[in-house]
Amino acid sequence: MVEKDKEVLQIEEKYKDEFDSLYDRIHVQVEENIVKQAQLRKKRKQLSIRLSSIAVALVLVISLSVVLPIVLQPSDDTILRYNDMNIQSEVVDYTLKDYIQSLGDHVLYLDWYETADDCITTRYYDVENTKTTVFMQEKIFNEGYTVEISVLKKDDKIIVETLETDWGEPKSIKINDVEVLYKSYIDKCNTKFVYEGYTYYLYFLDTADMDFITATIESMFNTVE
Amino acid sequence: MKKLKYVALILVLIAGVTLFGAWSPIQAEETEIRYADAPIVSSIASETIYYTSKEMTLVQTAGGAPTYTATANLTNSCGAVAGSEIVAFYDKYYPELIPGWDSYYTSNGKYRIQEGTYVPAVMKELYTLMQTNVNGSGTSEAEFKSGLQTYFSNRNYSLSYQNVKSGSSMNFDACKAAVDANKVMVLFITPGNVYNISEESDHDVFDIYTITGNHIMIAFGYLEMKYYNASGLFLTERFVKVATGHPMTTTGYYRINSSNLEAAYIVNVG
Repeated sequence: MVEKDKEVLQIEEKYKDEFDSLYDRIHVQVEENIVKQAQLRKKRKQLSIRLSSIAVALVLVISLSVVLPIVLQPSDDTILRYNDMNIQSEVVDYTLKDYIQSLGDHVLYLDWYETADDCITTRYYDVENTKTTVFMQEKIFNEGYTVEISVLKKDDKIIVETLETDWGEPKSIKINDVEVLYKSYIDKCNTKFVYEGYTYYLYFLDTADMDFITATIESMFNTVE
Repeated sequence: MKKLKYVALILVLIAGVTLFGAWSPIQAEETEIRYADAPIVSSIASETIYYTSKEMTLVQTAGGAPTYTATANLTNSCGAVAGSEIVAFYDKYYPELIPGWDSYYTSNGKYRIQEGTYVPAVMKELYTLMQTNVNGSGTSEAEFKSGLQTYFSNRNYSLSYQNVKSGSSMNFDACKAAVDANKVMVLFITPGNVYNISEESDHDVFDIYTITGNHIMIAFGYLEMKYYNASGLFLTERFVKVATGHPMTTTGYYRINSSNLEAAYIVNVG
């Protein structure tokens, strides 16, 4: 072993320049490899950042495309709901007929003014903006029965919960070619129909007699001028 | 060190007992039920009873009863609304309870539609007499009863209350006797349901309306439904007919054995 080491040393001494040159080339190559490795790592890092960015962007786009249509579409929050808490009422000294004529539209009313024992007209208004009339209501007592008629312009963005109670499964009947929904109870009857842009609620407060109810609604169409 | 721990523990216990002692009376005061604005909501749900045959008995006071709703600017006014209905009801039998105005149509005895002058004036007076919103939101049972009595005594009439709550339910026989004698009842309830009832060929549907807060309303009728099937009588339902004080449904039916009934009285006037 000592002899071999001596031989190695002699060879290295004899070919010193060649070995030095070889070592230099090895060092250069190692350094180049180190740099290449670093560059490769840098490239890999850049690639993973790019891929991550693309992935994040894709996720964002997909999320937005799912969420935005839901968020931007008209939701329940954009529907104005009126109930006991945000409307109040005041009795007014003009009739529903007077009010309708001021609108200039073909709005129906109960023309019992000449015969009725009593007629009270009430304006329901927005408590936040008292000039905003939410709906008009007239209670008329005639021939022993009280009929409450409420009228409002049809608007899909407004729900008057005081009027739009849940009737379960209402029935319907055609009166003057107009579909009238009704829910008949043991001692009263609620009806509702839409005519020329207005929604009508007629509540018969102490009768469920369908002949009387049908005749009453039919008579309203005679008021169209 | 141990001694210090025991001392600290004892001090904490003393503090806790003291605080609890101070807190309890406050809690006791806060448990008094007050009756205020209580929105009513209609439910998609309903109850259905199928039957082979049924018997229905529906009776109300002569001419029914006034069905009023709150006037503007009177908040938490269910007591004043119920009270004004009681005043207007008895105005038919005890003159000048509402000076200058008759609460009913003389032609047929039915009660007048709520108008804009006399009824609001009665409501406002009762609102004050019942100490509404003075000692808390709305009015208490004691304040309602005292305020209404004062309204009647100011007009030289006496008013007394006869309890018709029996256990957790209303005494149906007492309710029937009151209605048959043309007297109204006043109900004090916590959140619960009233019903509107529709009839089909072989079943009845009870549409549910939920009163969402503590509420005062009057009763002026009774309803008894007996349902039969192939086995015979299988169900008896008993209700009082109420004026709810709400525009959504001004009348409805209240089960006499509802668990949310706090108190119920016949209102006697003389």
